[in-house]
Amino acid sequence: MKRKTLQLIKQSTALASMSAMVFLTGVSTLHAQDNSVQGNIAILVNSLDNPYYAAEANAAKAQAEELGYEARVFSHSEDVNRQRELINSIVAQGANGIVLDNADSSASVAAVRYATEHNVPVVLINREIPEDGIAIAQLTHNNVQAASQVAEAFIEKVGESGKYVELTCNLADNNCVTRSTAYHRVLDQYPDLEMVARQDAGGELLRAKQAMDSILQEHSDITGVIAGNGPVALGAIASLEAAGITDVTVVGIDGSNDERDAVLDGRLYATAMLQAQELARQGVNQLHQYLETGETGESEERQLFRGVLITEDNADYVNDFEYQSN
Amino acid sequence: MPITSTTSNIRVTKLSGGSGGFHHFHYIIGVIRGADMNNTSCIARTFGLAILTSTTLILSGFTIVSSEELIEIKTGGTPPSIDASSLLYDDIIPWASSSTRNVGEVLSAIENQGFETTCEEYGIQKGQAFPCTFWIQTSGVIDNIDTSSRVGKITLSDTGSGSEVVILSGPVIPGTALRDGYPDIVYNDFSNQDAFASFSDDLNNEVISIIENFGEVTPGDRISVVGAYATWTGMDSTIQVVPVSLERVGGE
Repeated sequence: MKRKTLQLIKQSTALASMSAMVFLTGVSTLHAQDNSVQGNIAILVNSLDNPYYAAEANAAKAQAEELGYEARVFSHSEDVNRQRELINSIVAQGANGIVLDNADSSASVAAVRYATEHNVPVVLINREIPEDGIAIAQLTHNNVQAASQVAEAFIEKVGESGKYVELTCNLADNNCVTRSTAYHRVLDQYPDLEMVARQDAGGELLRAKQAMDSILQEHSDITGVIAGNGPVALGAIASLEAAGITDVTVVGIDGSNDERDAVLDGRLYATAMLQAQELARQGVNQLHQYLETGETGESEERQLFRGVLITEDNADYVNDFEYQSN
Repeated sequence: MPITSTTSNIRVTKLSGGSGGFHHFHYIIGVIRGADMNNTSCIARTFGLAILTSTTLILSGFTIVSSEELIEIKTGGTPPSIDASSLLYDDIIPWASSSTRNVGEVLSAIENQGFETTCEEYGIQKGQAFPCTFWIQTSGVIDNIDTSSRVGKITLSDTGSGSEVVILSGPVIPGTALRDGYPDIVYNDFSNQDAFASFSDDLNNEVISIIENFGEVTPGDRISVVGAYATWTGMDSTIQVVPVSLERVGGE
């Protein structure tokens, strides 16, 4: 037992050292600026494997570079400890500012406060923290508006009665909770519309497919599936297709290119596109403004961004979380 | 998840939250002692230490709070709630009545000078996350009353606007037009999106009372309406109005 524990400790220590080397290597380059850049900005997001976060990070980086900053992107993988370590290192390395899509709304307050207290301003994007006056700005999507419009589109398609399933994205994430609550603000006003199953699919396609596979064993008579994000909606579609079911309406939120294609193919009825790129660019702009003038230029700290309802009528305009109608 | 605090060798563990209220929490006070302790003396010491700890906690002014209260303290507390009914009748409706425009005037302006300019001139838009809301007034003849959906609709004709005007009559009032059309209420007044949405729901529920108090209507009745029209583009095929004031025209 003791030996096993010792081995685990050794392994953990080795892993921690490796992790530290990886991010410190990345962070150390924050100092490697030449005279032509006016500072450096760190951009922290969740997993870069997820198209939403990749689009958000790329847009923030491009905007920062456009404004003359050296920009580095880091992934905290939704791990608050890793986020704290990254922020500590970024602060220690003398970053001018941080654009952060945080790992957890409540648990991130201390990390944001740490950076702020060390004179490194933080702009939050996508996820808010439950405390004002620490970050210089908090930019997030209007999840209630997006989810409400999706729910209204869902009812228009399935009608005001029948059985449906809700697959939530990740109930540990405030944004997902807000979306689910907003769905129910609309759906629960229709007493003949019955939710027969609700599962948390963790925001992942595979988990959503597995959950849907299981639900279909018991509820093959559903008329709709309302999903908390894009991957979950696509997972539900994969499950329905595997079961040979084609008459179930599926909706989601996110607006990735995969969802766009599914809408155009008629497999996904509607989604709401979150303006990930615009949100990230605005976050960088406000950080830049703050570094230049001491103010973000906005009257309010917390700012919302519209989710754009996407159906077959306008899906062509979606590209990498950007709505390009012109 | 249990919340544990340790005082000397006494551990106080909060086991469950029940419904979240303070009185539903249960505490186990135990003593961490050597395994060879005599049972009787162990119980006596446990009891004694439990009393001592409780007394110390009380006398020291230490207050045990629920996790919900802790979050509230950490977040600086929840902003005081706003009474939707009072705000609607005392502020929003008077404000709407003084800012209202004829629906035809608004639609003409959108056509002639564009949506954004018209919104700036006649509407309210609280940032890009919200539609532009116009306070409009019109009168017309009830052409149709559709209660087949829970989003009930009264269609007016002969409004002189050139567009179909629909009064949303409930029991489901979709959208957030009343909230978004009043400039003195903004998202930052609320602790989160959910609270902001709840406030809008409360306003919409008040609209149901306004409609119910107006009484029965039938096709052919001529009525006038003041209400909020929320739009993203101004290109809607029908003008959907959330009413705050309804009147019968010509004594009908």
